[in-house]
Amino acid sequence: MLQPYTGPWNFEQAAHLLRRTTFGPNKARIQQALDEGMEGTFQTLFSAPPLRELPVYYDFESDPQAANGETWVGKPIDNTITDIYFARYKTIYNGWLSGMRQDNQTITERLTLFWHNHFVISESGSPNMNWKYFSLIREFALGNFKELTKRVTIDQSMLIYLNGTLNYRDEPNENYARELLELFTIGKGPLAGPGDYTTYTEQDVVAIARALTGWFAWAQVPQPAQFWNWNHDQGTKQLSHRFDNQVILNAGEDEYKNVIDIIFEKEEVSRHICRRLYTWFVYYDLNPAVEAAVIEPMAQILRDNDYNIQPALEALLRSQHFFDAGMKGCMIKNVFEHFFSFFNTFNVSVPDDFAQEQMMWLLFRFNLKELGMSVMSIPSVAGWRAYHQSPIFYRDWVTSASVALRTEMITKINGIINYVSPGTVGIDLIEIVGSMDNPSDVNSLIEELGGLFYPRAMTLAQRDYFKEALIPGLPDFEWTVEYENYLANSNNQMIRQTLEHKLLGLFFSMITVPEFQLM
Amino acid sequence: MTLPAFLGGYELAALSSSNMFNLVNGDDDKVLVLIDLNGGNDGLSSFVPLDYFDNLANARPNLYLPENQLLTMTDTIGLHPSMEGINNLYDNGNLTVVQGVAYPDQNRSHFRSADIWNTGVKADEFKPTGWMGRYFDAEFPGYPGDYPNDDCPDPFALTLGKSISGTCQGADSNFSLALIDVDYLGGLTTGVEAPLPNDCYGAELGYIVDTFKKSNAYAERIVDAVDNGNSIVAYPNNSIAERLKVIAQMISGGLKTKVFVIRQGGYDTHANQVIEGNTTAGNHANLLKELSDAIYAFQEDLKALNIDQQVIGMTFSEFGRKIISNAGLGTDHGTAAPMMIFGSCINAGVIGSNPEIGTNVDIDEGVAMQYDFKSVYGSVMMDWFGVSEADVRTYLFEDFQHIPIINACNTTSTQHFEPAPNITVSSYPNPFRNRFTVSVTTDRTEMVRIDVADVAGKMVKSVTNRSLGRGTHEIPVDGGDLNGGIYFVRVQVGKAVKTLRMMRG
Repeated sequence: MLQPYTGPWNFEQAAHLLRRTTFGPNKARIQQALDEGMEGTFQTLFSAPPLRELPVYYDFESDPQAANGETWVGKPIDNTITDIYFARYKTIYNGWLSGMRQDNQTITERLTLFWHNHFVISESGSPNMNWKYFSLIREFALGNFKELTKRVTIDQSMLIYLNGTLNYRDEPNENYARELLELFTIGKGPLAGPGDYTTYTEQDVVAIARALTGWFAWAQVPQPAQFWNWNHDQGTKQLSHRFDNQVILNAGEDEYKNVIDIIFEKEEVSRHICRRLYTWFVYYDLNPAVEAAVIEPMAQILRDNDYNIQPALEALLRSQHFFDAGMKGCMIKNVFEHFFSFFNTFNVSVPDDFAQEQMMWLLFRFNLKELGMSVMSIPSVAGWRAYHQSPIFYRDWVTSASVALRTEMITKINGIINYVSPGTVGIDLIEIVGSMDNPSDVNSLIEELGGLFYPRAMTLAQRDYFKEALIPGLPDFEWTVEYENYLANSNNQMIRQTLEHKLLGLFFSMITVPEFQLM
Repeated sequence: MTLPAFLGGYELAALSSSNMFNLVNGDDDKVLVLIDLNGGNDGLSSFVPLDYFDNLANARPNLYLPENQLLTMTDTIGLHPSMEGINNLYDNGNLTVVQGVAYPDQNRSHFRSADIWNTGVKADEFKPTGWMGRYFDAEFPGYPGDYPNDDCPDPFALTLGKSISGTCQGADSNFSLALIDVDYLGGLTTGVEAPLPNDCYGAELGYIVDTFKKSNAYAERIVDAVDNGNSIVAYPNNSIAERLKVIAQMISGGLKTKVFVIRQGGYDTHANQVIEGNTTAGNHANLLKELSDAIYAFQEDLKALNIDQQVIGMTFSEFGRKIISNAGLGTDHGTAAPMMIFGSCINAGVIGSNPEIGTNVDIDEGVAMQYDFKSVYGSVMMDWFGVSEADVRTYLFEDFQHIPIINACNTTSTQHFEPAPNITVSSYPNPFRNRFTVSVTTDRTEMVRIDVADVAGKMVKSVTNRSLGRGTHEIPVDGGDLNGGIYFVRVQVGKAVKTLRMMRG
């Protein structure tokens, strides 16, 4: 039984929950959660997300099927049009990033990224296919995992990425069958014998590959994957003792469903996916205590609900374990989390003009990719290293080289926004400060900002360190004087700029300390 | 006025000054500079096979370089006219070209192939570590925890650019740091170190604080080296040259970093590789000029600084490009291409033969593989970094074939390495119907390995891999199960390689 949290519902709990279930909650969002109470917050988090708008061209006029400003979804790709692939792909990247900013209400964005890291594809096939894949994982984010696995198996991007389209009756390709078992469903257990991984064997990989033969995907034409019976292995496929020596009979284009049903009969499937969800939302240390007290009951809930994700995930996030003081702040932010923990928490505004906003996201996407994270560009089918690579796990995100680059990225935000949209104010530090409860009091201000940025309360020494960055060598009241002078003269450009400059020092010191890398 | 960016606010943590480093050239001072020609360099337009010029021109009528404009590197190899710097390197005895470098079962995806090159694996293998990463892991266990320290104060590897090269990825951490700008070294503040609680937060925070401190330690060393170092020769004004110049300066300033990685992007020339009607100009020409001028200046600077015996450089690319050009004035992903290794301590010349271009080039045909890139890497590991052959086989692959690239420093003779005159290889008939014969004549016992690949570099047949005694051997090959078309029969006899282009009629 996964013990639920029954303690008080306060800023610390709400902020912790929102940091793990959305991207960079700002003060307003945390306040909303306090107002809603714990029940209301969970209801909101698990509610249906806003409909994602279809991606549109924003600077592309060469496609006769879709004008600039129109959606290309559903329109075939004419290969002869220069740059048409990139014109479409970039709208997918942009939309994904923009969604991480826009949807701060539900858990969908984080879950969609989780599923992308679970059922990995790259830019395989075509943008049309990738859009379908993205829509699929988003639709099923809180849905039925078994059904999602079935849909992904014949998703065109996946068929191309893991060579389903090269899996022929006369020349089977085992790539998908192997990853289906090893990564997506049951996971690999300890080596019990030659080719025997406890949860499955090489024989199962071969048998399942045969069962999945016959599928084909069309790169440019937006139609679903096709099943060709003539290319399907119509024989009987024998599974190993790990699957109780079951036999997969020929079932043509429904056979893949039977394969997945058979795999999902094994309880280990529920544990495997729960472990992955745990690593994504809580921590990577799956020690025996966690296995017994958290994973086991969570997996039971998942099975009891026939692999509907929501009850099990909700139980995890409502648990005493999740809200345990000793478990807070242990997650090193990945590239997106780090970026949005600034971008969203600091209420950075984006250009009003749609095309300019898209250009901005594209530039961010390029930079974030250099830092090691981009959608549809995951380095390996096993997902980003931080979520599976032992022993380093999350530490993969922070190395001597990368941490300086992550911070540098933040310093470039305003430059990028002004580049695409001269005159747009991206970061408004004065506005952030003004939104705090008691900005005139320097101690209250810094402590409240700390509450927003860091997962654990700062010490007095740390508060003084930040104070020193804001009002070096001055007594506290000098801040009050300066700030209230600004309030009385907020139209005075010089005073405003002086204040901004001071705040720059403060915020810079707050994002460069090691604690800012954690959530 | 726009809000000023957060520049110049970085502090370097105060550290005790490092020990005086020692400038004596020893075995542990060897440096490798890797230049990643990112995107897939068209080797056929870089090192043009003059003995197949007409066939090449016919295969890429909109793209080929006019013969009379090529620079003459050897009597069978013409260089792209932009590669004057490379030509000079060759004339000075500072360049080795290894022909036809790829790996069996060519993967033509950027992502995967770049991974294969960086991690030094076979096409169906996956390792989470880079090929140099495995070397570093073995030499310096305890990284990153125990470093930097008094014996090893310097970063093991540096990537000059943003994305950290996968080449130096170790099991626990990447041995490379990213250096964006020597004037902007990203010194990191550890703020006020609060006591670490005894939970997962304390563990992760402790790791981050430690990482910050190490980063500062490395930054300070780099600054020292740049300040103490020098740069003598004038470099051209391009970003490759800029970075090579800084590298020369750091080495001359005593930085003990072993591997430097630079990436030059833009080689994925699917379209507009050349300018219509003026094929010696265009995107590819610009890249090659930038690269060639930069490398030449770098080598001259190393000599002027008297550190040329410490450094070799190597270019690599995830694949070459197809022989037949496309309608967009470009070329598509191919198979093999030449690799360049430059420096003072190399066996100057050309290893391997020109790729054979037929009159009937297949639409999918890439340049055939002669040498496995892992053999090039392994030879560098062995002869430059002193790794044992047994270890090279572990780090890279069992089928490692030593290639004599590295030599005693300052050998200025330019030699042309080809299969030793006492080995001859041929095959017949060509075209064949069902069977053909590979004939190998050797005057001493050698390991002979024969493989057959298709036009896309996929292995279709392993014929033999065994020891043959001196004399002539006729080895029959049953090609009856092959589809009609072009095949590449790779014959490896001891250290020599010959790849024959055959057709099943």
